[in-house]
Amino acid sequence: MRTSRRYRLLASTTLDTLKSLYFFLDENFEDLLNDCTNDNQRQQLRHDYVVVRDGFYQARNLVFNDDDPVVSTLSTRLADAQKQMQSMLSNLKDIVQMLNLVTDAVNLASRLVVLGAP
Amino acid sequence: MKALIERLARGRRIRKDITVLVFAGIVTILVGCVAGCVNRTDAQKLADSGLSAASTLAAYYGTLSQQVDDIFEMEAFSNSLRGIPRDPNYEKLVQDNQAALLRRARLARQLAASYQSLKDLSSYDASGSVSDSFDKLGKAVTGSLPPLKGLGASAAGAPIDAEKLFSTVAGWLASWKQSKDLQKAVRGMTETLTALDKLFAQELPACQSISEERVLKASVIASELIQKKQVNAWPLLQQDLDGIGLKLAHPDTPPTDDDINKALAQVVRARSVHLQGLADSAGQDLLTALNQQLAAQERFQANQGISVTDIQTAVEKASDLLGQIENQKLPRNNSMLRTTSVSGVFALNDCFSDHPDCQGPIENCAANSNDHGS
Repeated sequence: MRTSRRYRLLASTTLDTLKSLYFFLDENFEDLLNDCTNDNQRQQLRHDYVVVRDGFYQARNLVFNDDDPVVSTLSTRLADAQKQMQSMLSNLKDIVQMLNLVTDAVNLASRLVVLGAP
Repeated sequence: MKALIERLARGRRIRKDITVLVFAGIVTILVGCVAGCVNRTDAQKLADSGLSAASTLAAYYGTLSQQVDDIFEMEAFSNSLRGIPRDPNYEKLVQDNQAALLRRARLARQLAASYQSLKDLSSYDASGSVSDSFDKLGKAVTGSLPPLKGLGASAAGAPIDAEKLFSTVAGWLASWKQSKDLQKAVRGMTETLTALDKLFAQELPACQSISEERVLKASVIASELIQKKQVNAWPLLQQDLDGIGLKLAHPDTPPTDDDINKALAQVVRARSVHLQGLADSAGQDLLTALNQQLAAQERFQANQGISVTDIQTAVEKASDLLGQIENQKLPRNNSMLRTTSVSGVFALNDCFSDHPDCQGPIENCAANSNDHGS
């Protein structure tokens, strides 16, 4: 009996990374919004959330080549950014710094989505 | 005299040879019959397990489709509170996901119908209905399949071209129709199942992310409403407190203490982790069932004995998990988190267990509309 036709659950690094960012923002949106000190910051957060959410929905319909060096590098950078955000959130002192980090991560996510094949 | 004895001896030998030949013939016929019967019985077993697996697959896609609806509604609710305007682009993306899932549910239902036909075929001679269901499957698999991928190409080999994948299947089905042969039918089903199995395996992370997203959204909304004291979250703890013989002082009013509300929100989040695990397991068990069904069909084609016990077990496990997920569905036409139950915020379809009339889902509970009105 051949075994090559047996399929197992395969983790998708890129999709998982995009999902983590989207879920992180969704889960912590209210806390971050409460920490914003002006409307510009709040608007920036809303914008970032929408971009990452729509990007994740697009990513569900795309195929990513995780071996591609550009995809791999962006995925790693995005994962690192999320670790930083998680760490910063546990003791949030500077919302501006946090929002900048979020925006950088969202930009990385957008660049990743563009690299997915339809 | 000698010649007579030789003739008699030759006659005995001939009779003996004839007896041996007749016996061998009978044995051959019996063996053939038994093999044929075994073949037919195994085909019926395969058809039964395939029917269960395909039906559960259709139910899984149906559940995901329902969950996309739930997500869409919860997102609209959250967006309103968050000050995020309606986004046509997002609505289009949701519709695309929905269309992809419904297409797959339809395909799985057609596959189930074809297993039913295989069962018919293995029970009696091929009939018109058998051909008819294969025709429908042929049409279902050759139509365009909307994308739902989200998988790293390196992990799974080349990306799936769904149309190309199923084009060979259509060929098998056409040739089977001509012969009405059991082996050929199983071979056709194997080709179809191989394609579906591959598709399902590659898309599973994307599918699982839908269930996870729904759990997360419900958790986020529940936490927010608990902290805003818009819902009574005591029922989250009621069962545990009952277990050690304690009664809440004010079970009908939301806690006023902020720390308590924060803690109750954490209970919600902890439960969401459990629910995410259920959602992931349902998909994984279904994949196991499909893989095992495929292996059994290949053994059948190689004239080896088959067992479908493991397949049925995996299917039952997946069905059970889907049932649990389904029971945690938010009630339609009711304000979100309006009711809480002893099973917690995510078991909104359950009735209060201490109500004598409430033993089933909320929509079956006649007392519900009076006791927990909107």
